[in-house]
Amino acid sequence: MSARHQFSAAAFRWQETDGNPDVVAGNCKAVTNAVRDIYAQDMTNVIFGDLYRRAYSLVLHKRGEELYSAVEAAMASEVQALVGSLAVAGPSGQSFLRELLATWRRHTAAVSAIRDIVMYMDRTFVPATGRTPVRELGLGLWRDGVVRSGRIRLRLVEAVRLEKARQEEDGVVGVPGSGDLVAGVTEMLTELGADVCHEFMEAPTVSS
Amino acid sequence: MRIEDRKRSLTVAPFECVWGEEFRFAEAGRGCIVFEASAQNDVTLVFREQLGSQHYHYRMDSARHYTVILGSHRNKRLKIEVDGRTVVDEAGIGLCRLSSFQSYWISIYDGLISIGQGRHPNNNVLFQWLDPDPNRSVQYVGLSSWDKHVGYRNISVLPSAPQNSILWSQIEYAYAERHGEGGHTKNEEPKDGCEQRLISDFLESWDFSDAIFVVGTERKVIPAHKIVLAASGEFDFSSMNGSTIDLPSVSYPVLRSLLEYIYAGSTQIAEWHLDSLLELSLQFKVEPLVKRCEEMLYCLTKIGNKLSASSNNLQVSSSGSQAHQVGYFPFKAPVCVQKIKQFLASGEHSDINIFVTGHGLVAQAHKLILSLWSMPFTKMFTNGMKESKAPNVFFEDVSAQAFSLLLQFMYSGELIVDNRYITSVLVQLLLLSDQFGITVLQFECCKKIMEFLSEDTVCSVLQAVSSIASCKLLEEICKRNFATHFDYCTTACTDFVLLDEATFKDILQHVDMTVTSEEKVLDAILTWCMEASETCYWNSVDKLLSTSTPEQLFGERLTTINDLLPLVRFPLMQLSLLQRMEKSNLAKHIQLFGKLVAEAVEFSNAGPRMPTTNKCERFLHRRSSYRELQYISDGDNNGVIYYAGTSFGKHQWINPVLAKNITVMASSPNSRYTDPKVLVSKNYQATCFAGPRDDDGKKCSWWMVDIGQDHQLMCNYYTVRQDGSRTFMRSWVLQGSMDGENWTNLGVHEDERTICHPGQFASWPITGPSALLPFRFFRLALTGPTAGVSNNWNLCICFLELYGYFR
Repeated sequence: MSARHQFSAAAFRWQETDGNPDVVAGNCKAVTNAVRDIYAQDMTNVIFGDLYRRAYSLVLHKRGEELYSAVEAAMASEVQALVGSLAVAGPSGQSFLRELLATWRRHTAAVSAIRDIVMYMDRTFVPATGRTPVRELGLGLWRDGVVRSGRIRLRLVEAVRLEKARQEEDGVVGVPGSGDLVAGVTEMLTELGADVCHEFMEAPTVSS
Repeated sequence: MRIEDRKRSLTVAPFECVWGEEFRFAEAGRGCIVFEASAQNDVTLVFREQLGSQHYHYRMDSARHYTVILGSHRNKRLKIEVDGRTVVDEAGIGLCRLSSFQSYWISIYDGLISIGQGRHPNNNVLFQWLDPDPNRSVQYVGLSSWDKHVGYRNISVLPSAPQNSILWSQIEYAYAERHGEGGHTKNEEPKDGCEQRLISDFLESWDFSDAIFVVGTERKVIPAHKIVLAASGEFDFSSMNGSTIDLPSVSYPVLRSLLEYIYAGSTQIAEWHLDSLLELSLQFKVEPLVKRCEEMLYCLTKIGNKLSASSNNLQVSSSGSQAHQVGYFPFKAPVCVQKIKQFLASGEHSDINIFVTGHGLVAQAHKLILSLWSMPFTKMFTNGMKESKAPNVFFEDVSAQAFSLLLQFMYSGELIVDNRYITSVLVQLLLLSDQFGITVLQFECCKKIMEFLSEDTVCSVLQAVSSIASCKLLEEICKRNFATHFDYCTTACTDFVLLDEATFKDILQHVDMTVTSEEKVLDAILTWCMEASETCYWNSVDKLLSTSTPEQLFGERLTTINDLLPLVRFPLMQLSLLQRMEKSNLAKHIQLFGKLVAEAVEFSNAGPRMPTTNKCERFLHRRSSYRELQYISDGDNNGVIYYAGTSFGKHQWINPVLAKNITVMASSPNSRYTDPKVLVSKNYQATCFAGPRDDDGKKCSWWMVDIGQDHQLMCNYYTVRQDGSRTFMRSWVLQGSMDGENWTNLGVHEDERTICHPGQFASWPITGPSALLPFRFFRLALTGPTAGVSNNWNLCICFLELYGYFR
């Protein structure tokens, strides 16, 4: 009989501490700070175990909504910052493409790191509520925020056209590496969606 | 609301089919549907990828689907069809019944179709069939019929959680196969974070590698892992230049074969390399491979095949052990599990120190092993964040005990827990395995928790489990347990106020809800809404309301009270009680309460003739409610043993032992003075006792009553009568039990001097929460010697009666 009473006394208190609004806000803040650090390529100071636990506890205590929107907002603002840095990249076709691809790689690496942190949310909350998974969210932000955004869109089309024209001039493969640029851009666009690739790659070739 | 209704009951007309979003498996190809059905024949369920139409018919469907028919061929057979083709046709099982609703469950797990009876998946399996070509896309369930109406009710869709061991082995095997396929396409990241990996994924991988081989004249470098090598043979790292093993005379294909055999359990080798492979495995003492190579060489020479330079590839696999070695377990022969377990204990070859904040070092572990089980751990050690380089890793907010169990499981593949009082640790382990996506451990935890589930733990388990999406089955079982022990769970402690609204509401609506009186339901609802720290009775809440407003009392939960009050079945209460409620402050301040009470009073005044038109559940008796058998006076005719003598109200009283309605046993063998019939005969007997028996060197004397398999009693009073002797009992206990083995004390008496005359009656109430627990067996046992001069371990009573709530 004694064991019966012992148990009820030792009921779990974990739920109370983590449901506290301050804790929730703190956890959300920690995750958004991490998103910033990850985009800043400052990975070594990001403690995965801690962030994973915070994200997990938010989802477990039905705060998935807050976490999701916090992550979404943080990623969107980081992508905006990337666009800003791209806008100042040199006007020349080749260096622009190079810069764009480097930023793209940085973005995908960051998205994959963020995905790791919020893996639990991606696994449970996202399918349960029909949200866009974090990976697709990252692709969408890049597609709509960068590739399709006014200035960059035009410069990209122009740069690709120039690049292709130069390739034809130089023969099959001109300067080593320049062919890779177009291939890299195609790869990026394909990943963004089949329609996106058509949008950029076919229109110019048909017109020229 | 409509969905709610449909969940409760629906009737399918002949040749029709009901579909709905609510009858959808969360995961394609895997799920379980639990339902009750009543029909003359052909309870038909269709499983397919998309929703079907109302006039859907499985014979006309060209898309892939499964059909399960209970009571096919005029209720004679069980049939399973795959895409319209009959694959199972078994006579005499899983039949349906028109007179009453029968419970069934059908579970589909990657083509393994299981059908069973009852409301608990994986219990009472009637039939199992494994589709050789599993249809992993089925997701929607259609409820259909043949030429007669079929009634369905209480339909719930659960995730398919493989529970029993027979199921396990098959599923695990399928699991392993799936992984085998994915083994070589490493770049393809598993979609699901909880996918588990195999050691073979780490073959020639630089991830976590801490040893290298340098082979051949070209000095090719091949990464390996000390823990894997050391667990399958003897690789002496100390003498071989730290972590480098230099093998200039060995060619790459041979080493590759050796490693593949160690990591994956099988390999291919060209015939002419077999000798060198044998030599290499001898050098490193990889015993199983040595044996296999020798066998193969022997076979080859026997056939007379010269060991020439033939380039035939030979298959070397660890002797069939793969088939019966459980598949979810990442370690396969030749990797020795014993050695792996030792490495956890010794910390040998470890590359990560695990700390739990507030406890300190928990273990010296291996990144490889942790990564095998869990994707988050893999990411933790590889994605370039702080832990990827650090030698120490810290975990916060976890119990060290639970974390140790997690590690033990990872290293041994078993969850060894035999103490039923550590449910709280198990719940934390369940949360941990959910957090780190270790599905297998999650199932194991659920299994153990279910095994140890008691009325005392159910509330805390439910609290934790309701937030984990993948533990629906355990949650369902907890809710049922809570509902069937509603009185106890809401009285013994008030942890239930911490449950969330949805869970509490589900319990209140549960079909198996069992209460002694509707007042208890009302009290529980009020307690929950007040978030009180002790049980409140409605009349005390009523008093509180005279000084404070409902807003002050109920706070945030005031709105919820309107959802919960309709679940109290006021019409089942006594009129006098209702009239008191009508005048109470509750009725004055809470509009709905007043309305419900008024409705019930009206119902009560109208008499029993009127209500037939009223189909609302509120007016129905609960399916499993208790009959109150109240103590009035010593030797009255109100107790359960008397009631059993009338076959529970069916006829005139006869001795219940003779009527075989109850069983009575004594600690000593039956004899002239130890006669079960006499104890329940209502007559005085001058000599009637149970003598002592020797139980582990301790004397014990008892009388035991079994009120039958289908009956339970929440005992709140009992009466005994002394026989003609002066051997008065002084220290004894009354105990109750559900299984006749584990006993709970109901009443404990020490040196109690009430009985002091031969033939005297004496009665005692049973107080405390244990009076709210239902039991089947009752035992009155001496715990100390009696007052008698001689034979002072004889339990001399000639009459016993029990009172309480009976069903």
